[in-house]
Amino acid sequence: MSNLNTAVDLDYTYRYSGLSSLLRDNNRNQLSLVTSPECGSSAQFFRGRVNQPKRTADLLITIVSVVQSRFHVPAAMLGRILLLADPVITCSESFVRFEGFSSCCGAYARLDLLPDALEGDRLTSGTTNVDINAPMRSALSKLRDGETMDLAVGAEGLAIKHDGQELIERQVTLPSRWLRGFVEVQSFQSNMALSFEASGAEFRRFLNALPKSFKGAAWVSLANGSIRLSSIASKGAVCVGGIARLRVLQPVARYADKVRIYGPREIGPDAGMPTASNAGATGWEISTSDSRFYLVLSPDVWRGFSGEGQVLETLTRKSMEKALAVVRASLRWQEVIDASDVVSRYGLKADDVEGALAQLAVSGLIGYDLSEQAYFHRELPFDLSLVSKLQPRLKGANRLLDDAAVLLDRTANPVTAWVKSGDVEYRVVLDGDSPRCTCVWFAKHKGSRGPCKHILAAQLALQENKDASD
Amino acid sequence: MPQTELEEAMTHGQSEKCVEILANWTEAERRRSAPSAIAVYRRMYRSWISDIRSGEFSVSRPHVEAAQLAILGVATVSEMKEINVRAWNELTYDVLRDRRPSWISDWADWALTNNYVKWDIVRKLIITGVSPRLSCDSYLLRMAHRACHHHIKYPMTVKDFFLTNSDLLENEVWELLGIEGNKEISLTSLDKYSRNAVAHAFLELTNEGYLPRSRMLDVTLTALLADYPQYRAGWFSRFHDLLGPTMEERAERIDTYLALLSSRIPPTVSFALDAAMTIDRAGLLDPVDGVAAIRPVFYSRDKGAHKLALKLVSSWVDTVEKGGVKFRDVLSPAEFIDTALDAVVPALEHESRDTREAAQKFIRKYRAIPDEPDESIIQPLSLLAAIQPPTEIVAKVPISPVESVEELVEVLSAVLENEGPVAEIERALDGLSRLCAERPDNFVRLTGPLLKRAKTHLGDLWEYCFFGSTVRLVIAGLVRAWLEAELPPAPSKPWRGDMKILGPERFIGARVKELASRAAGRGACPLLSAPTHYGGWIDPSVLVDRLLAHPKSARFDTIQAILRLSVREREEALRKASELKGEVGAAVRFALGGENGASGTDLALWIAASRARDPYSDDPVGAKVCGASGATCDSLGPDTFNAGEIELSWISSQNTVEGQTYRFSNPKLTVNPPLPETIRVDLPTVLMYEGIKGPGRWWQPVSHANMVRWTSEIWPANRQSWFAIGCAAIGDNLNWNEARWGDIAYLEPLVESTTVLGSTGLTLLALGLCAKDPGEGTLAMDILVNGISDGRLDISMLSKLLSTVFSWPDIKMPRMTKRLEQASGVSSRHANSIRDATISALEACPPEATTNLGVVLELLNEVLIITASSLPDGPLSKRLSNLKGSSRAAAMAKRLLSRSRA
Repeated sequence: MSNLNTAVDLDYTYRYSGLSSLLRDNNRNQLSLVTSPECGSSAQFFRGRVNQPKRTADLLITIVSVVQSRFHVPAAMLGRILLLADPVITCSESFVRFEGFSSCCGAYARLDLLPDALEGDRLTSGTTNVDINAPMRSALSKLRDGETMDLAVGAEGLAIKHDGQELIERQVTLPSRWLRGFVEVQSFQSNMALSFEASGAEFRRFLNALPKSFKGAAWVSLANGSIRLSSIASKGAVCVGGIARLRVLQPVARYADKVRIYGPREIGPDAGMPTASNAGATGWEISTSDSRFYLVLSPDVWRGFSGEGQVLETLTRKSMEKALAVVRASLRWQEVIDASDVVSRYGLKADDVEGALAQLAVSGLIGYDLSEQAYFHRELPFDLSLVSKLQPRLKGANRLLDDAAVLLDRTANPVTAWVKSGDVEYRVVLDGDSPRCTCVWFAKHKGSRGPCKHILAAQLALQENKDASD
Repeated sequence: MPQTELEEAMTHGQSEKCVEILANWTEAERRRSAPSAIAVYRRMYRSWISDIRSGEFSVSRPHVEAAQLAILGVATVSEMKEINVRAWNELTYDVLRDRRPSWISDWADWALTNNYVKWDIVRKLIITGVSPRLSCDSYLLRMAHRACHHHIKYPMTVKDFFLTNSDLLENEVWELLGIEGNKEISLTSLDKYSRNAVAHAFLELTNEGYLPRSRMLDVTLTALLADYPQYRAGWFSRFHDLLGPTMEERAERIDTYLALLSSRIPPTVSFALDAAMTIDRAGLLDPVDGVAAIRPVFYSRDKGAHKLALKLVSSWVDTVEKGGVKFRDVLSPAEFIDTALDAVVPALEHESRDTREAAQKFIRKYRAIPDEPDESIIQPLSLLAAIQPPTEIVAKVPISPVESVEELVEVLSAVLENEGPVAEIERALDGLSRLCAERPDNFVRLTGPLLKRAKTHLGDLWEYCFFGSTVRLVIAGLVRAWLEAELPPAPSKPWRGDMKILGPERFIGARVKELASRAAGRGACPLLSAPTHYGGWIDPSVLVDRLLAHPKSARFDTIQAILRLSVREREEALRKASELKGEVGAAVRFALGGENGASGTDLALWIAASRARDPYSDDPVGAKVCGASGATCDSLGPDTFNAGEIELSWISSQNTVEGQTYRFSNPKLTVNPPLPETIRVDLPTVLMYEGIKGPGRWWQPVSHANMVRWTSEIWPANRQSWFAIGCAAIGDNLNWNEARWGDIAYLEPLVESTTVLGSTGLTLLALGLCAKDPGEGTLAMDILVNGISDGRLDISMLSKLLSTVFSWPDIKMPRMTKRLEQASGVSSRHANSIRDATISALEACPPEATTNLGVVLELLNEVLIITASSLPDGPLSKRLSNLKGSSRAAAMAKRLLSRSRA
């Protein structure tokens, strides 16, 4: 199905037994979402009816809009190839979730159809790709309020007569940057907290007044129910880089009953004055009566989630291996994974469980629900087992270790290391939660975009040292 | 040296021979020859490029073309992509015909995308069956581009092109109409530069029956459903209209038109509304379908679309009320009216008062609500809330000094990469000044990465590093001087040709060079000019203590230190300063308000002291120092012993192109006393003005945004001259003709409550409010909000600001009034201030242009409603009562007066 080539990018083949379609028959619409038969050759997820067809269709179209958006074109990236990436669908006991990730790797969208959104038979739980092609998108956009729509989600769609026919295949190369961003955005969300909540009407007003382009950081805050855009920080404000990206929500803002805005956990409503340096990703949740739409934006338009390095330290931790095995074994397509329950049931450390969850997220095995502030089980249909290990910085750190380039001074307090890289040596100070380095990466970002490879190498060396002395 | 016959032919530029050699080779033979042929190609291409650069042509284009053919004959597509091989030669077809590679489609897509091969060659490959038919975007877009490409070799029109290649009308044309295009080629961009050649060709081909009309109508609407960006979507709506669909054709497609009402592209919505209205007028649109589809229009921002949609809904409701509609079972007339009213409700959220009022009027009419003014319904939502103004970013806390060499290396590394913030730059300078002689263990190891990075940034600009062009270059020069104990040599040639660095950057460069010189000699001592507090301020007592501890001070450092003296707590410092010795001691005492009088020979030192003593007034005792140096006060320029007076005026000009007249207004700054011919580098207060020398285009885009920020802290007590440069920069680019992202830096200090606005600061704020760039505009609005909150912008200042804007020519008034309206929603205090200031400014100096007056009266109407007040009797109400006619201003005046009477 897929293989990992030497250039780290993933050659991936989307396979479908047919094309998704919307059929109109005597004022009755039949939406057939054809999924990839990864979960079993005849996997059928759902058959039933959509209660709010127009709204659901528009929300679904917006997921595709995000997937096809290129808010920024990084040099040396062929965006055209990425446009071929399809959304991912997860069906569980009561939820149906659609996930998509933008071509520029800086925007993640998810549509959660809550139990009331659909009526019918939920046949199987699983995650796979779903074909949303241009003609079906056009047909969806013609739906009107008040119309009815049947829905079938599965490998064979509505028509069962595809047996024996050849699968429709489309091969794409998914850059590792895109894949890493897709999975790392989950860990990003786990570090977010609700900053404020506003009414749908207020959100529409805010969107309408949003400038088409706004260079640099914009601060968004709420006071007495009103969302305010400012170019300077204020208490409780969240910093949004590339705020014009929010305009992608304009077509669905009309359905918003309320909107919740999530910012980095340390910039919650109870925190002190934020600064641009601790600004991070933001999450925007549009709630309707039977669905929730999430848009998570990277800290700036040119910053993809993969380069943020939020999980690198977690990936270097070896102490949570037991927790990882236990948590992984407990995954059963839960809509909410209760971390405290896992801790108490298996007698694990809360830190290890959190770390294990973050690692599973990076492996594409779980997603994060901002609204529930908890992970949920879903398994991305890509082979990501190697991708997480091929984090460029982590790879660089391991290479430094292999080259014996790290010289630890455990007598110093805090522990100091000299890391030789190229023709210079970098001084790393492992000072608790705030390690420091004399390299360019650290000088530029001060840890706001994860540790540099020298810090990672020093941390790994320290761990090895401890293991050896134990 | 060439090893094979093929390589020989490559190096001799023998294209035909290359083709001949390759013709009978097997694939295995080709692959065997590939590595060395690629190596030869690389060498030839490198040589060609470098020869082009040096102006010689020892390897000419025919040589390269022959080499390209050879590579095409032996390399794989991956290898070709890696070395970016073009296929310029016409013989490309022959090579590929003989080779018939399996990857030909992939190659063609890549080559066409990058414009490495002519479309005609790929087309020939397809026609002759060498390549399968292509339907990739690159092939289709290049086809359209080729069709429009008039050349002596291809004299045919677009229509002739398609008729000559009539098989393209079967598939490719339709596929072309199904794709968006890219930033290089799209149907919109092709037609923009070919006087709509494509649209006219397709129209003629449709009218003559070559392209089925019905399919053409459908395909254009399908493209619009895809919601391409506005620029590219426009072609499809225009072309659809150009086809002139008949009523019958329109009626057949009513579902699609109605679906387009929810498009996110405003012109597409207008297009769909027009179509729906046309069909409705013919009685072919079922109001039930219309009402079900029209609601999204009332969420849009476009006022025009709201107006049309409301007209349409009104007509439906009227018809239903009169019983003119035969309903299907789905809705009763009453339900229909409810649905229609419900569809209009989102219009009550619209930012425009007109739109809200129209929607409210409509709803009242059919819901039988008495027509009483109820302004709460039509309040924009933002105005219902009292928003707390944003608080300041920078807390007024002291700056903590760098304590160790390790910390210094970290701070310098960060400053080198981030070029700021200014407080960190100054911390780094201070740390280096104090710690430059220390050599802890592992010093070379510790500073190795920093030195390497500094040298990378310096590149070949080492000798220019202290010119003051960028923060990075200045700091990199300082680091190298410290760690290698040497100073840059004198430049061997001028800085980047004719470009000159003008302004206070020169002073900064000289100041850092002075420090670098000391650091290179390991002469450690505290930096006199290191700010003790954020904003560039120095506590006067601290400066005196520094001077008492180290009386031998450096010249630029001393000048800078004096200019940074805080205006507070000077008495205590003055008492301590009595112990200071020499001319520097006397100058510091004078700066602190001492009555010793100015006396000495160092002109620059005394000018700094005079400006620090009283930044805004002339210094009568300055003449004494001037006399001693043989100069007169006025000949030294502004802000020396005499304070500078700045005036901003506008130079209007116009340009006529193809019958269209364009008006321009550019700001011009005049200063008194006038600037001297040359400005000494040790006079930073005069250097501030250096950019405005001479008439006309004065702006030198050399300054870097971070350097601009640094220069703002040279003289924090008086930023009028610095703001003046900001006025010229922002005023010269109000309509964002150039993307000058750094100009916003000039507005930043105005946010802080400690910044004195002054008349130039006020002008800069006014320009910010009128700026097109949302970043500058939003920041200016924040400054306005903060200024009203902290008392810097009282009603008289605000009124002065508005009067200034009203007097300017060619200002887009709605930009400013919109921002004022938003600011008035912050609190009742803000609303009251803006209301009173607007009335006062309208009384004193109303805008000349009626359109602008109308816009300002709309603002006044809004703030009167927000503050629940009416227009007071006075000069303004009298003036408004004289406004006659049907202009917007007259209508608003009427409304304001009627409100006042009510």
